[in-house]
Amino acid sequence: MKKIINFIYNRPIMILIITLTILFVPMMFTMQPQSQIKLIVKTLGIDKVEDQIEVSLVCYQPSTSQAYTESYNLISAKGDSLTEALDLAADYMGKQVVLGHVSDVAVSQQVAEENLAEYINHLVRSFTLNNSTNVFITNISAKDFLKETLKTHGKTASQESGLIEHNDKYLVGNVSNVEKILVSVFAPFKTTFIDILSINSDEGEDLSGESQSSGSSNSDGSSEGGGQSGGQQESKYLSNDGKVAIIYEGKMVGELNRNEVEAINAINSEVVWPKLTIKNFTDEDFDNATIVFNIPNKEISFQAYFDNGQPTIVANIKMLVKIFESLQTKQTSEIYTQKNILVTKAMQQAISEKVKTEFYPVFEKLQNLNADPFEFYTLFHTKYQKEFDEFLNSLQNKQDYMKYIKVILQVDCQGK
Amino acid sequence: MKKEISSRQFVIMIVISMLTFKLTYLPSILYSQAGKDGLWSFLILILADLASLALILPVFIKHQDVSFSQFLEQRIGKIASKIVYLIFFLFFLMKIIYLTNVGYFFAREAIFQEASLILFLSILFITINALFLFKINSFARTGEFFYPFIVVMLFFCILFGAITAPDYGFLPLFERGAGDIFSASWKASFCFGDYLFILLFMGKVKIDKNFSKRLAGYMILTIILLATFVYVYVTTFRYTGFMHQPAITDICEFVPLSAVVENLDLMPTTLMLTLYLFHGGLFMFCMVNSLKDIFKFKHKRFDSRWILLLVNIITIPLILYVFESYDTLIYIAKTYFTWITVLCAYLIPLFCLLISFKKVKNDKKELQYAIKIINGDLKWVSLTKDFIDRFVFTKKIKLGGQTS
Repeated sequence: MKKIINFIYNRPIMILIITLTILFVPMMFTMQPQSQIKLIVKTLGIDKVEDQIEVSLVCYQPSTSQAYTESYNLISAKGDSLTEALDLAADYMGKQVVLGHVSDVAVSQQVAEENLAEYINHLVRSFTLNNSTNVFITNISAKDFLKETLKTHGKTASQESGLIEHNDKYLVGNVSNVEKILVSVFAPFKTTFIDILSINSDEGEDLSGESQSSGSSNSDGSSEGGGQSGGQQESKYLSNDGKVAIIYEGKMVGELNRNEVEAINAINSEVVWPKLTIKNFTDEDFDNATIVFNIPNKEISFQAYFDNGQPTIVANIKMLVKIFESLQTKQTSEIYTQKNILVTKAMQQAISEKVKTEFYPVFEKLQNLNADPFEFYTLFHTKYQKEFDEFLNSLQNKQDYMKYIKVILQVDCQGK
Repeated sequence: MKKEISSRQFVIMIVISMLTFKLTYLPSILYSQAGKDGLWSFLILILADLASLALILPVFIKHQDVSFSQFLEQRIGKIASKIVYLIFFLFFLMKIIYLTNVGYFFAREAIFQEASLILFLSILFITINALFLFKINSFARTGEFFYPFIVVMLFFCILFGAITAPDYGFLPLFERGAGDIFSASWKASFCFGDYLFILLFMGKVKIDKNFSKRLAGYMILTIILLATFVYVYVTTFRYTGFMHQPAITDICEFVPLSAVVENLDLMPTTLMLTLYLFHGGLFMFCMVNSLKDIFKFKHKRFDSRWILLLVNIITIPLILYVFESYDTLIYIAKTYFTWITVLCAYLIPLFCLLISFKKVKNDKKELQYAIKIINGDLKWVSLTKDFIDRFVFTKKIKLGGQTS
């Protein structure tokens, strides 16, 4: 025995292995599998129902399967606070809610208008929600939205992430995530855009679920209903139509439709391959034509200065445009030969006018809401810190600064 | 004096010790005081740390053949030396308490929210105790082995952050006044001052002629990485930095492919846990050696392992029962640890530098002669008195006094 003790005593690695074995191996046998005690949430919905908060959780349902399929359940619960609602949802399932894997947060318009940042902040602080988690606003209740989409997306439960990421790149040019909402509270420009996803009865992705084998959509204990209840149901479509909510100080104060987003994005170079349409264009090659231009390259530079005490920004937009589609009754051989289609001076003029006429009304709308999505505050604060502070101090309400900023667009488009 | 660590290994130990406290919590603490200008506070602290290193290195290099205890005792006597060892012990005790707590809060944020402190402590302390027991040369080799991985992981964390995280810009320079910037530096100073450990390695490092060049090269690389990291942090979280405490994991969260984020988390998490373990081992070594020099047990039964046990007995209850709350710890750190750090990190090196000029009795005069047995032949060799004391004591037991 003494020899064994001496042997161990003189070999630290043995002490380490024995201590680790004694401490952790018995614990390992007595622990429950994590999948039995944790409720892994992939998508979280937040609604306001009367005075209560309702949460809807799309949760991963562990199951034994040889095929690579995942199934998800929808659980909903109400409470006076977000914590109470989440606790109740956890109680319904007999598991602890884990939000570390949440990829999307859906909120109803009412919640967004009341105080979106408050709820998001709570989730970040108390549940360590990732700051890059996507956030979107739904045109119907978040619960109904998730219920409908789960019928079709039940096997992936992350379709919405794809839409948000698509919007970021091709439509809105602005990330719609938790960090942006928090920035809208703490940054001096106080503004961000958050995507709106809609469910309607006209067009979009069919959510009837008829072509799906199984969506694994269940409801909570209060029999909210998961599958179709039989009979003729109205078709519902998921429509990502490029709408965005304007978030100011963490609250939704307005929205922009797709056309407005495209118009204001004249000064946003983050959108990949934007398009631009001019209608009723006539020159020697075209006759009352509708021409769609593709913009493979767009460079924007801002020149900020004070013009008689008024903060002024000149936005120089340099675009490389290509004729992508032309619609007119009379087709000519010049139009069909790519090398011959030139972006003429007249076209450039038409594009420039189109950009300007569409931009200013939307910019005015943002000004009226004090919304500064392009961070003009930072632009002036960086370059003219002292003058800008003086300007802000001269205002009755500093937050109204956007109303006094003048933007001049200079559009220079070239290409063929 | 047996020199167990190569010059490269020691340089790596120094640069790894620079990383641990700077990658989590520190950027958030600096931001809370000075906003994005916390970057300047960080650079001030780096410069201050380099000043501390500039005080330590001449002593370390000039007296590379004697241990720190010999260095002190020859100059200030045994009692005063013991007081210095006690200060060292308390300094590193403070550091290990802070390391354990931030490590625990980081692990909870990044890995397992419901992990108990005792679970984290058992993992950390078993490993750092083992690192100590494996002897210092094994510890140094471990650092040498992991260093390239640490640098690569850190580089990729910064790169992912720089490429994918939002950039709110850094201009204008100096939004906050000098008061805020220096106040931030002061309040975060407890995350610095780790170079003090170098003194405890006196006499253990084979210092070659490239030591200084190598140290400069590695340190420049590390400072560039750290400054870039803090820059990426403050430009990413220019408006929300106060809420991004586990800085290194947060800057990697913005990879556009949401499915990748969870897997990508592994990189900063692995990096930080490696650093916590390595740095914890270093502090453990320093604490044990400080205590060992206080007691100076000569009996072979009271070897380092008993001191190690004693250190654990002192440290673990303190962490479990006194410093278990993060908020309490940060308050204490900002209020008291700053003073302790500044006093220890600057006054002790300055004191050591000053006493290093003191003329001590020539070592040769102190030399005594003893018999050394080399390949069976008895030879007269010159040895220091301290060495003979230890040598004769231990060998007497083995050889039955044949050496006398």
